Amino acid sequence: MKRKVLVSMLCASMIGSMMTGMTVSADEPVTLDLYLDFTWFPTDSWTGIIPETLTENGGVTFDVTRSADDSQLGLMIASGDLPDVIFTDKEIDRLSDSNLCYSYDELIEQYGVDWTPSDDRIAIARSHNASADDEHYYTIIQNYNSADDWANAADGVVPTIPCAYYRKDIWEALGSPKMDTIEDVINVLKMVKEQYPDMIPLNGGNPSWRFQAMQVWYGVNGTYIFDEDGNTVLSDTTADYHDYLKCINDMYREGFFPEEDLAITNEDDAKQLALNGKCFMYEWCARPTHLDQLNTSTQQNIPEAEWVPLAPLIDDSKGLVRSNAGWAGVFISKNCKDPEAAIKMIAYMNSSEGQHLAMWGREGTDWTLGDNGMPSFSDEWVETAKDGDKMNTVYNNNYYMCTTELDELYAYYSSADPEIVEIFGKNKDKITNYPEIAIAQPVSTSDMGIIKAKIDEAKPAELVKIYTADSDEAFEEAYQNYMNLLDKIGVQELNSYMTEKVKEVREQFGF
Amino acid sequence: MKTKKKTKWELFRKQGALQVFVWMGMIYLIIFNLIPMFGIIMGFKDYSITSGVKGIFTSPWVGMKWFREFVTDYKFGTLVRNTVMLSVLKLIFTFPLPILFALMINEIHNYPFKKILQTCSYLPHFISWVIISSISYQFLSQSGIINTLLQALHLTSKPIGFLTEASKFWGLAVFLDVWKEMGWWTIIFLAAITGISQDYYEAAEIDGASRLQKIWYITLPCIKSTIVVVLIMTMGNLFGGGLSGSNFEQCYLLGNSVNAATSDIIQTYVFDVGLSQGRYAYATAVGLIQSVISLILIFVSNFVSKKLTSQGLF
Repeated sequence: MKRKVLVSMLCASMIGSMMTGMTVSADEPVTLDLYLDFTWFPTDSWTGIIPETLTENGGVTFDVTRSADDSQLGLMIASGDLPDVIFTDKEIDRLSDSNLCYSYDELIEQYGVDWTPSDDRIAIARSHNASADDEHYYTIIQNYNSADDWANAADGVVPTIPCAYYRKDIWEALGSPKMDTIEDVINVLKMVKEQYPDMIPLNGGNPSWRFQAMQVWYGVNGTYIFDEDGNTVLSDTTADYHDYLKCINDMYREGFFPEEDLAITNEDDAKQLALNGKCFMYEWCARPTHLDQLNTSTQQNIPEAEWVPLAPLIDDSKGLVRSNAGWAGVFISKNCKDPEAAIKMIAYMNSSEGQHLAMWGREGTDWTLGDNGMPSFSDEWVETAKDGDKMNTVYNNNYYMCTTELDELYAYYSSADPEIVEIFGKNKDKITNYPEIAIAQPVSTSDMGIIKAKIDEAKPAELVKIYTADSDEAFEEAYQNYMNLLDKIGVQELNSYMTEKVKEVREQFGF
Repeated sequence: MKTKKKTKWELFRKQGALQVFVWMGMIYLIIFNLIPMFGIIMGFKDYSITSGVKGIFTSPWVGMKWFREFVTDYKFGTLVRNTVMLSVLKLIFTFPLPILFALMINEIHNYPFKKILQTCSYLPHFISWVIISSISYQFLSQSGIINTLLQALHLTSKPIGFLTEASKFWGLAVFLDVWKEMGWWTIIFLAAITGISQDYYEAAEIDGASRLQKIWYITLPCIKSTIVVVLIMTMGNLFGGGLSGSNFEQCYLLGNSVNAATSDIIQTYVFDVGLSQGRYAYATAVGLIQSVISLILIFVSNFVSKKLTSQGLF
C-alpha cells in the first residue's frame, strides 16, 4: 500500500512538473538561431535594452552567430546546415529559393500574420529570386526608402555615403591649409608626409570603404553609372575611372599610403591605426555618430586628437551615383525550428513600432518625436551614443534587419552638431539615387551574374597592380591589362544587359 | 571443398582482431572516400545545390562544358603555374630535409639533448595554420618584429613586404612548411633508422668506415624503402602541398589581393567558385582536373621508382 501511495505521489509530481514546465514555456519567448553574415557586425549577442524589448514585443529571442569569414554562409548552404534565421547581403540571390528558405508570402498567409509589405518592396525582393518563374518572395530588403519617402524626409540628413575623416589638430598645426578641392587635399597630405614622417597620411585599409571618398571626387563611386549616351555601364570602364585610378596611383607614389594597407581585410585592423594616432586621414562613411565614436575612442589614447569630416562632395567632385534599393535581407531557412514565430517576429520588426524600437529605442523613454520629424533622444542616450562599445552594450541598436534608411539616418542625425551636418551635406545636390540600377543587377546564378562574379573576383588583385604601379608607363600598362581582362571576361555583354534591364525596370516601376 | 571453406573460416577467426582493424578501415574508406566519388559526375552536369543529392543524378548533362570553361579562363595559367611552382618548391625543400634531420639526430649521442631537439622540432606540427598565420602577421608585417629589427640594425632602409610582395610568397610558404612539418616527418625516418640492425654498423666499424660512410652505405640504403613510400605518397599529394598537404591553408590564410599573383592556387579557386559563388558543378570539374593529375603522378612516380630502385608502393 505504501509503495502504491509513493508511486502515485511520484507520478503526480512528475505530471505536475511537466505541466508547470508547459505553462512556463508558453510564456517564454521562442529561441531561434540568427546568423549575421557580416564579419564587421558590431555585435554578436542579442542583449541590451533594445533586443530585450524586441523580444518582449515580438516573442522571439535570438541565439546570434556572427560570420567568421565571407565564405561561411556559402559553406552552410552547401552542407544544408542553415541556421533558423539569416541576415545577409552576399547570398540574397541564392537564398531566394524555395528549396532553401520559406517564402514570406506563404508564411504570412499560413499563419494569418497582419503584415502586407508594399508592392515596390515585394518587387525588389522578387528581383533576387534564383528562379525567374518563382512568384514568391523570400525576404524584404531593408534600408530602402521610396522616392516619396525621401521627398517627405526631414531636413538635415545625408544618405550613407563615403567620407574621409581627418585629424583637425594636426591640420591646424599645419596652418589650417585650404581643403576645398582635390588639389587642396593632396597638398595637405603632402604636408603631413613631410612634417609627420611617422604618420600614414591616408589610411587606405578599411576594406568596406577603401578609396571610396576619392571615387566620389571623380564621380565613379557607383558600381554602374550612366555614360553620355544614357547606357548603363560598369563604372570601371569609364574615362573618369581611369582618372580616379591615376589619382590613387599618384598618392601611392607620393607615399601617402603603404602597400600593406591594401592587404587589410578586417575593418577593425584599419580603424586601430586611426584610433592609435598612426594616420592623418581615415575613410569611413558620413555619419555624425561615427565621428563621435572616432573622437571618443581616439581621445582615450591621444587626448588632444580631434577628428572632423572632409566634405564628401568637395567643390570639384563630379558627383555621386547611388543605386540604393536596400542592401541586405532576413531569410527564414527551411531548417527553422519555428517558422511561425520567425515570421511574426520579422513582421513586428518591419512595423513602424518595431523599426523605431530597433533603431531608436523605447518611445517615451529613449526618444520622443520632435517637430522636425526626427526623434529627440534622451540625454542618457545621447551621452551613451558617443561611445560605440558602451552603446552596443547598453542599448545595442545594431539590429537594423528590417529598418529603413531614413530610420537609421534619423538615429544618427537627430542630435548631430549642425556644423558637422553642414559639412556632410555640402554639395549634396550632386547626389542622385537610381534604385533601378540595383534592381536590374543580374541574379548571381545567371550567366550575367557569373560574369559579374568573375569581374568582382579579378578586380581586387588588378586594382592593386594599378594602384601600386611605380611609373606612369607601368600604370598605363596595368590599366590596359585590366581593361583587356574585363573585355575577356565579358564586360561588354554585361553593360548591354544592364542597359536593357534598367530600361525594363524603369518601365515596370515608373522610376 | 567443404574442408577448404572451413579452413578459410578458421583462418578468418584466427585473424579476428586484425580483420576488425582492416574492416574498420575499409568501412571508413567506403563511406568517406568511395561513396563521395559519385559526386564527380557533378562536373559533367548542370547541377544546382538547391536540387539536393537527387539533383546530382537528375540534372542535365553538359559534357565537358566546365572543363572547357576552366582551361579558357583568364586565371587558368596563373592558377596552374602557382600550384605547380609552390608544390614543386615544397617537394624540393620539405622532402629531403626531414631525412637529413633524422640522420643528424641519429648521430647525436647526448640522449637528453637528442630528445629535447626532437621534441622541439615536432611541436610546431600541432599548431594550426590559423595560429601560424596570426603569428606570421605579428612577426612579418611591415611594423612587425622582424622588420623593426632589420631596420634597427640598418640592414634595410624600409620595411620588407614579406606578406604583401608577390615575389616573397612562395619562399614564405616553403619556409613555414619546413618549420612546421620537418620535425614531424623526421619521426618516420628515425623510426626506420632505429630498425636497422646494429650488426651492420659494428661490421662497418671493424672495416674502418667513417661516420659519413656508415650513413651513406648503411643508413640510407636501409631506409630506402621508407623513403620511396613517403616519396610516392608525397607525389600523390604534390598539388595539395606534399608531405604536409598545406597549400590550401597557407594560400587561403596568408594570401591577399596584394600577393594574389603568386598565392592564388587551384584549391583556393575551387573554394571560391564553389562556396562563394555557389558554382558547385564548375568547382567539381576544376577539382577533378587536379585529382586526375595527382593520380597520374602517383602511377608515374611508382613506375619510375620501381625502375630505378626496384621498390614501389604497389
